[in-house]
Amino acid sequence: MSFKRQVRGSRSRGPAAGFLTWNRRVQLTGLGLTLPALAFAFAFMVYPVANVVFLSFHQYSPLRSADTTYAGLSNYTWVARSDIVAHSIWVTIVFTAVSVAIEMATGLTLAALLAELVVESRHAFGRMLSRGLLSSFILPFATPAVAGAIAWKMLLHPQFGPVDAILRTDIAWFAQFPLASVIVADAWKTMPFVLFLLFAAILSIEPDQYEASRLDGANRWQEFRYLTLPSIVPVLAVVAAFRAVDAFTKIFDVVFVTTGGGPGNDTQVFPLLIWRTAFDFLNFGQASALAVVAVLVSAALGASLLAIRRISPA
Amino acid sequence: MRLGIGVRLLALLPAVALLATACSNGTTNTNTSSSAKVVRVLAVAGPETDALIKYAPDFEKATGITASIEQVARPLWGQRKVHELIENAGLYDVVMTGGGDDNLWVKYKAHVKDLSKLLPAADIDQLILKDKFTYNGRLVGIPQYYNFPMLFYRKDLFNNPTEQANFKAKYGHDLAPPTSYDEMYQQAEFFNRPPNLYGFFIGGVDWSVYLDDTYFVYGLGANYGDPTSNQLTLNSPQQKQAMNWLVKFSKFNPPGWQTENFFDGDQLVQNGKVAMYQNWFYIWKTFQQKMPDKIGMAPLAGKGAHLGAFVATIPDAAPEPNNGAKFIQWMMSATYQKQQAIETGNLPIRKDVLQDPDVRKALVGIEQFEKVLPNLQYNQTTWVGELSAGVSEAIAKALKGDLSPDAACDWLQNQKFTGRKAIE
Repeated sequence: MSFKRQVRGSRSRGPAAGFLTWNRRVQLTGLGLTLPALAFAFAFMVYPVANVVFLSFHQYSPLRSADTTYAGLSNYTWVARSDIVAHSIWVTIVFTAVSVAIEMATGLTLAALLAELVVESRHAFGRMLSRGLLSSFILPFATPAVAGAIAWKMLLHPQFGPVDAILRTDIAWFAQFPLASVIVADAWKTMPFVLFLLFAAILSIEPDQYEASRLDGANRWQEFRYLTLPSIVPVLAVVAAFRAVDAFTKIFDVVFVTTGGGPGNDTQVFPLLIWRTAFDFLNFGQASALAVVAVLVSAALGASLLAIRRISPA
Repeated sequence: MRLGIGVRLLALLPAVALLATACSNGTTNTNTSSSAKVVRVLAVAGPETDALIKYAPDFEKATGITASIEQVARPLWGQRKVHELIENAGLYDVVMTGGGDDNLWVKYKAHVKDLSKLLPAADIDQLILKDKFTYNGRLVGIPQYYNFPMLFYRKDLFNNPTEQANFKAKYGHDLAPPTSYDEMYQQAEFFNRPPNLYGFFIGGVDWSVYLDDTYFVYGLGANYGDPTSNQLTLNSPQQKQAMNWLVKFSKFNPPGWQTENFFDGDQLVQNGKVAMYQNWFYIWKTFQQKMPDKIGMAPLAGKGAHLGAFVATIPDAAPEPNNGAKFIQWMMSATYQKQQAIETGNLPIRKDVLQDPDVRKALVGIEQFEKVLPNLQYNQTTWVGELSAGVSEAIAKALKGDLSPDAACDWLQNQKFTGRKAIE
């Protein structure tokens, strides 16, 4: 007897058929099965977020007082008035915009070239080369962020770094061009993520379309401009939105290791400011308000990029 | 007969319960009778804890108490200490705190046991600098060791006859380890020969530049707060002098120093790029091993130096305070103090161990350390984390030229931290 038929049968028997009706039992079973997942989600997702929101309206700074007292909007007022917060948000927005732009541009270019190589490779050597190249791009992404940041710090060290040695300069990259250097280090790490998603998107385009375009006399650039690009716009938008949210809310390790937020506050990105406010200053009320702002800004950022996708002609 | 899904789920409950029990941490178990055999120690991951970990088996063998030493990541250590000592979390029997920057809040804010009532008087009498850890007659902590900044300089250059003659011809006095900031400045200027050699090194990362600032501030006899009046003293004449010196010395730094810290300074000195710098003497042992003929050590040019220690406290809420006391008693024993001093190069905390011939032989330059010991200072505010970030922000303004060093100090006192108190 199929499940559907069982259900139908139970319905026909009515409430008198047992202590619980079949439908009721199915509902309770469903609830029972989802309960662990719900409890998990509540404990590790809902409760922490709710607690952050709660703390953002309270004064909780244990070095001043062990008590948590209601503070109204004072933490948010501080966020709105603080020069450091405004500067940090600005630095993070610049970082996010430039970093994501670089990642998308290089990721798209490399994905298109690699796709071309993979599709066009007729010989075993060519296929091997394309696979080798493709695999090599996973390395930065697979490298732990801190290890990657240390490597960049060593590469760009003004005294002992190979970059200055090759260029025969003594530029202190992280001191003289701090934000640009941090952006390059971060883009190196996260660009492969963009590359692989776009590569998969390009490969999913029907080959017939390319054949048709070639019959119509389109060159490679025209193929890319009028066929590849429009076909992957939805993926591009989602990837850009994802990276933007990720860059805004999670840029921490690279900055922490390479510049520590300096010189001065030049690279004090928002997550670093939140961390400092919480764990250096032990002001958890203000840190929570900052965290809520970060969530709101990143949500707005993501939503606006996805909205662009919806109104795009593709 | 087919069992209902609900019944089958019920049958799973014991298995889930068993799994949950297996996955629970050991904290619950420690409340059983076995808890008397464990001492839980909160420490930081890093070299401070190395000797404790290494020699803890000796403690366990002697007492039959298991030492559970938890090493938390340094960035989280501050919050965990406060959670135990102010918020009475009650998870640990011993909480290790920092020396200079934690000392005041531990004295004024922490809920800790008076160790003079838990430890033998004979041991406490041996404690060097006992007053630094005593508040209102209560002994709030026992340090594991003492460590503080010293001046490290290129001994080979300072002893070079040509350099000596050239220096004397230029400045009119002998080239020797400096005893004033004016002398130190002249020497940094003299040896500043970029790109091969730079005269000085200051760590530019916020926490590191704050430490460099403390060397000048304490060296000039100043501090960041005055607990007696409960006022901040961030723009006192000495504070302004300290900021001026810091900015002046920064021009002899190698490129890129703004994003480096004193560990980078260690590398630069070892690679012959820096003529002198002020740093904690943990590095002395490395210099002794790798380049004994090249690097010399002297007390800082100023009057005072930053107290460094790794201080054991027993929270009021400690589950087993007696075990904590036994652990601290072992930590301050002559045997362990001798072991850790020889092992790490840090100064022992006991008067008798300081005079031990083996220790004196192992700690090269111990006479220099002894000169500094009476002059150790610590930050006189209870919120050093936030204060130090503000100080480094002011330094950045002065270094960039946005404000003069004097104005940066005034900004700190009158704008950044206006209305704040030394003890909050």
